[in-house]
Amino acid sequence: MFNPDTMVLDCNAALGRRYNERVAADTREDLLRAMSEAGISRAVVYNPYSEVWGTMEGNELLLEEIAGNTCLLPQFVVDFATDDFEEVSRRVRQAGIRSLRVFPKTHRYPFVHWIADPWLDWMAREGLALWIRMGYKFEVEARDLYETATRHPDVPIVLAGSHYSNYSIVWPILKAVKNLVFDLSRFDIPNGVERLIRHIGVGRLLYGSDYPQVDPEPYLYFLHRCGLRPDELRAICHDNLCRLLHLEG
Amino acid sequence: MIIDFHAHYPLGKNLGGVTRADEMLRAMDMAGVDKACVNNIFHSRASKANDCMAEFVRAHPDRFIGILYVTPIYPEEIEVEMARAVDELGMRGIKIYPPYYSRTIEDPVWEPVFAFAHARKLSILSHTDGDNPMVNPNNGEPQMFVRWAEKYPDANFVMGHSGNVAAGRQSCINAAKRCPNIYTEICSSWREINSIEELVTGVGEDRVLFGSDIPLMDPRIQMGRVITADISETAKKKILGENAARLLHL
Repeated sequence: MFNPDTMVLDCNAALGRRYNERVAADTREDLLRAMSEAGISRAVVYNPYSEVWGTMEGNELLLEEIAGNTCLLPQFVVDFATDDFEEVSRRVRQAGIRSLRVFPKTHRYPFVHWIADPWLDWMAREGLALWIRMGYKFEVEARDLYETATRHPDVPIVLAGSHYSNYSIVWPILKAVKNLVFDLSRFDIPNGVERLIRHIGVGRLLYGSDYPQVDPEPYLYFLHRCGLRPDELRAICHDNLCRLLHLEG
Repeated sequence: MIIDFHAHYPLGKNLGGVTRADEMLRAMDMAGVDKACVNNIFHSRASKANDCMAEFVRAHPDRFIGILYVTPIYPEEIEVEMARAVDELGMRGIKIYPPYYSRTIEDPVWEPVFAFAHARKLSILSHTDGDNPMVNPNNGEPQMFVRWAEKYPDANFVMGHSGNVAAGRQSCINAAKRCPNIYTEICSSWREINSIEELVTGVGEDRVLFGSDIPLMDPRIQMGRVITADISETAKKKILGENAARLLHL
């Protein structure tokens, strides 16, 4: 069991069963237990069903799974190409959703302005943030990400699960596009956190676990040994995400 | 003494890893790693890879241990190069990387490598990927090492990454249960939950080795997997160095 020195919010976790594999933890109780063991007080969660089979069905499943537990911050998955804007915006408002996640490649559309603009305009007005997965199964082309993100500087876009295999994309694009935010969950390169802070500052870095695919504790252990000042550690583990989601500390 | 059993040098810049010896040493220092076993799998001319490796190790002999590389793509070079690398360059183990090769680890072309390791009582670190879709699963499938491990009992077969994911890890465990000279090494960017505990339960604390994949990945993260694992302190010490010291005859 690991005891972090600061409050920890996890920006990148999933909750629910998957169609193609049995993950180590797929219930709310499993997730809460893992969070407790790692010292994580709250986590942003989405439902994997909505990634593959149906966005709004998965989002409703997510709310059922969470059952009002305030430690779990629901994140809706949206298909910008085919979801009904009125339905999504209504349910987002009703459920108090503060962030959305998109899977453009999985949902077979390009992340381009002529599809994303109406959604991102609305998100800017509502103060919502957007998550996009990178990693091995990265969901967006670099050129599309650059062009669309730069058109919407008021929408924070979190690059979730970036891996060393994404390095040659994320390193320059983080410098070029100021509204991109970086989830650290899969970023393993040596001295990577220190280098990121020198590269873009501490304010755009978030702790994420990528639970249940990844064990949350080792990366927290690592973050505590990166030579960070207490305020930097707190920013990465807590304050930056609070600011992004307009949460009370 | 903490020994990293899985390290490379050099590494291309486009994956973000560090590229200089001083950067590697700093990362090792930050993690408390005393020695790293480094290999060079990036030259098809194995002699070039091993010369490069030897030069690197010579500059920091107290921190790095050279591991030789050979490739079955040029089978005629294998035996001569292994003997040279051990006898002249002082290499203490062997690294193989099956995904580079178009046939499986069961192909007879690999046999001279294992026979040499048996004769010299060396350890072979192999990349393994149980069912990682990124890599041909036939290359580095842990079960395929069993026949060689049975035939060459004085060679130690170390399953790099322990198969990376759950299916691969289980395959490593199954293989290790059949052969006392099959070991598991932990480094992986997958970092699955309870993976260290599974290995210790499955193969025993004497056959799990700490590795980091530095300079690709930060050793503090892989170290954290061991430190935060629900295993005994004795097991952690074995994983972090004692087991490697035994295999390397230190």
